[in-house]
Amino acid sequence: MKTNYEPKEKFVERMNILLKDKEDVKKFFETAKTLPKKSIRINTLKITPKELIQRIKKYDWKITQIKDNPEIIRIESQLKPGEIGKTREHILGYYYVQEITSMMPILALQPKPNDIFLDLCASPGSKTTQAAALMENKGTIIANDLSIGRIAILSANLQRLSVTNTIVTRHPGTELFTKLIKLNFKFDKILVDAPCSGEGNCRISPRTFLEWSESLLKGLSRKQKKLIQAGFDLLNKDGEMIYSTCTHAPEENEEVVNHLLENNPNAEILPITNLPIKTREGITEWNNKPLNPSLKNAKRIYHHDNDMEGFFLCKIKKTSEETKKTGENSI
Amino acid sequence: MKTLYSSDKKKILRQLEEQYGIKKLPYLLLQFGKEKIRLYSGNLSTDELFKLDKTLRIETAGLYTFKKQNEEIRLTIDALSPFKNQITQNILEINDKQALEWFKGNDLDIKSDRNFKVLKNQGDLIGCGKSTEERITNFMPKERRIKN
Repeated sequence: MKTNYEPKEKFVERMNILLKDKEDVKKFFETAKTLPKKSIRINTLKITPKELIQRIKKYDWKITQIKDNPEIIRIESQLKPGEIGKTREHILGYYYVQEITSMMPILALQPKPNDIFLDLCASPGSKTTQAAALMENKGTIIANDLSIGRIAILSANLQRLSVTNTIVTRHPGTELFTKLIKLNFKFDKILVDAPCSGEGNCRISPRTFLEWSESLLKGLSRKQKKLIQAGFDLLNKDGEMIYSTCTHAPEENEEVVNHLLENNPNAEILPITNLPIKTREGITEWNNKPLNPSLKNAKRIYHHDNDMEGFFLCKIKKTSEETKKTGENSI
Repeated sequence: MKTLYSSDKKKILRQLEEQYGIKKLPYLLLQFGKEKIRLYSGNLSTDELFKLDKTLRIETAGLYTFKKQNEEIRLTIDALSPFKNQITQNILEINDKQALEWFKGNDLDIKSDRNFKVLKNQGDLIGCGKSTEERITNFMPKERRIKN
């Protein structure tokens, strides 16, 4: 049973501007009232997709494998509450229940076995465990989060999936960056999956509509600009970073990346070409303010395009070790 | 966080071989607290880890792999995966009904020699329990158990 809340007028107005087409907007709000299908990611550190699929046949779930990503499975059947987390395969860490759109940042980033990778806001560990699988438990992941409660969830998931290459730290994001900069410790890949207003999660968290306000977006945007800059400072030359959120607000997405580009001539947006779901281009203008044209290479994911959840991601490369423009980084 | 020196590691490996037949331990071993040993497979050196540990608030690193219990070593359920091809001793095959009880967190009424036993069912290594000769004591973490 799902409780729905009506979206605020201003939110509807903004979605009309973002989506443009009336039919598209209608589909967006209709889909918002429904629940998304469940999906799992097979933990290739413990089992192959072929073996896992063979094993779960006994549950009579109707499943779809995502093209070119055999580890990603969507469960089309209607499941009983908690059913997916009660199987022996789940207990043994053979799969992780994860929304497909939230798998996109790591697919776009493609961490490699010997990379040094930072996951800034890592709990509950969906993306950390996905990265560890791609890295074959080699290289090193630093997975950070803020609260002890969130760290406990993260650690439990890393344990269940038998992740062995990860160091879990507990710091506010910007504090972690300051400490790592002091150590001159830099990364090949970084994920800044920033805390956000969660507009893309409105199907599973309808309260998003209730709590939504433009002032909330502005406050989050300020924090996100600090986080993205701090993340960028920690990249090695030629290092790559994904900035992602589960929201659609340009203030939390393109404007944040635009701010980084304005202050760092050595930041370049890379195209993302390997995502297995429907995405749309990033926007290059908001509130009559033009944004960097390369932001069209960012990816917007709307829930009604894939019957999933909504997301935003952008891939950024550090092209040289130049320092940022002085005096232009005030937030 | 403490890194185990090679002499400690050798001692642990000897014990692992004696109990489970594990002959190789190609990872760094980290000790958190008195008994819990974690396995780190990453590419940072001991010096780099120390440097990080001095500056950052490190909560955990690597996988909680075994616990020293008296002179013996108990493997965690999640350590069975990295060592599955090496474990050759003290494996106890159990049936589906017993496996279900195990997943519920219950001890198993199985008579066996007094050792730690790696439980196997349907080809999976599903846990490590202590045999008291009359029963196998369950160490399945509470949050992972199947609720009745």
